[in-house]
Amino acid sequence: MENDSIPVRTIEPDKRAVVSGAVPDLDARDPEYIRNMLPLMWLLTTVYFRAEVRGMDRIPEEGPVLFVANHSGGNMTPDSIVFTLAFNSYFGVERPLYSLAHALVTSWPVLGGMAKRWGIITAGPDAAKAAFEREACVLVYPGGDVEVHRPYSARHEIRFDGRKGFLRLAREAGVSIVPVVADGGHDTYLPLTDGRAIAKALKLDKLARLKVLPVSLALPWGLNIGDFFGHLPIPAKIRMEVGDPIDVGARFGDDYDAGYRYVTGRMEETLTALAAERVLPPFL
Amino acid sequence: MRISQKIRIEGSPADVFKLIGDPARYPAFLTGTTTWKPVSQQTHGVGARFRVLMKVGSVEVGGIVEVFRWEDDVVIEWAAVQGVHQTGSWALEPVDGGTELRIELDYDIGGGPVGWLVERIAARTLVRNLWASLLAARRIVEARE
Repeated sequence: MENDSIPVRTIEPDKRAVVSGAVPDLDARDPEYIRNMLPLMWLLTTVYFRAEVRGMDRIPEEGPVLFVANHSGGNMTPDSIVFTLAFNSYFGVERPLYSLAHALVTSWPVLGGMAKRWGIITAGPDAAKAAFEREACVLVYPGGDVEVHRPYSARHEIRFDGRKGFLRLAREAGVSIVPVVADGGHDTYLPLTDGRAIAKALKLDKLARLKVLPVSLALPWGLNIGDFFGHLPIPAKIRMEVGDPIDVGARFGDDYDAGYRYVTGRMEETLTALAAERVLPPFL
Repeated sequence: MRISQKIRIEGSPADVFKLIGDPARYPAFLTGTTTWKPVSQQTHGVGARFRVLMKVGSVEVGGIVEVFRWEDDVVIEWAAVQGVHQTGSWALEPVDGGTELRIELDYDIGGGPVGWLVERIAARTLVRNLWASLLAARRIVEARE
């Protein structure tokens, strides 16, 4: 039977990267662009956030790994700036690092293009596997918008919301997980609620793959609903620690529940230790 | 940006080169340097490659350098082949029965005006590190540690 009448849904090349799981154009990463942006990142990280990064020597010197990280600070996520700088300074921009991000990040006009030059790609297992095949490292924030917008009272929690896709990805790709834990990002503003119930009621998940509608107090807006346009982070101190690699495939096989408990438990231990180093107020 | 420091050490160039010509000892006296380890079979002389990292502000910065000039008791020079664009050198010169030891770093981090500013901010720390390294080198040579 002829099916010529059935419309074939095609995606234009420049739209592919906004589709979750689509293989993005990995070639958009631009090492020279990153090299030229590192001084600005260094200023932000060293002078503004006075970050401390430890444990970079635990990262294997070669080959692909999956960095599994927590993140905080709403849509400004200073943790991302700190780790991206730390990785590129430590290994050089020649070693590729791709960061998986929400489709909203890569699809923004202008900013989306800049993000891709940084190596930020739309989150999805196919995209990550394509990067691994190039011997690249991949950074993922399993908690996504749920974690980054969690309320201030939960600032010392690893909140991956039960998402275990990163474990399956690491096992299927045969790469180790390297945990990256950061503390301090949530001191850069005051998130009051993640607004999950509101987001659900407004069907934001179906409309824009958003599970939260955060409400915060942030500069320069005051009351900040959604954080869609970001905010000016207060210069709180960021502490970050890279953990030892974990071969989740060898250790847990397809028992993703056990792997999830292990990885998030290890990260929670580290986060608690980092939080214990805080001095108040956090911007001192 | 180019920075350098020098110091006079009581000892012959050969005495000083026993330390300077042994990169395995660099982490013990190069202040701020967290890693200096060979990544090539060759660990001395022209062609030897090293993984080099230095703490600068919040992060460790570095890459892989390759030695392109090595003259015993006189000079060692290297240049980056990966990571931060940089060259560096040790130079030894006999003076008044002792040795003048000079270390020099020349680095370019790019980034336009912001990079220019960051190079100068970082230089304050790096110059102090170089000076402390020379003090340590003098102590090791003169005390025969």
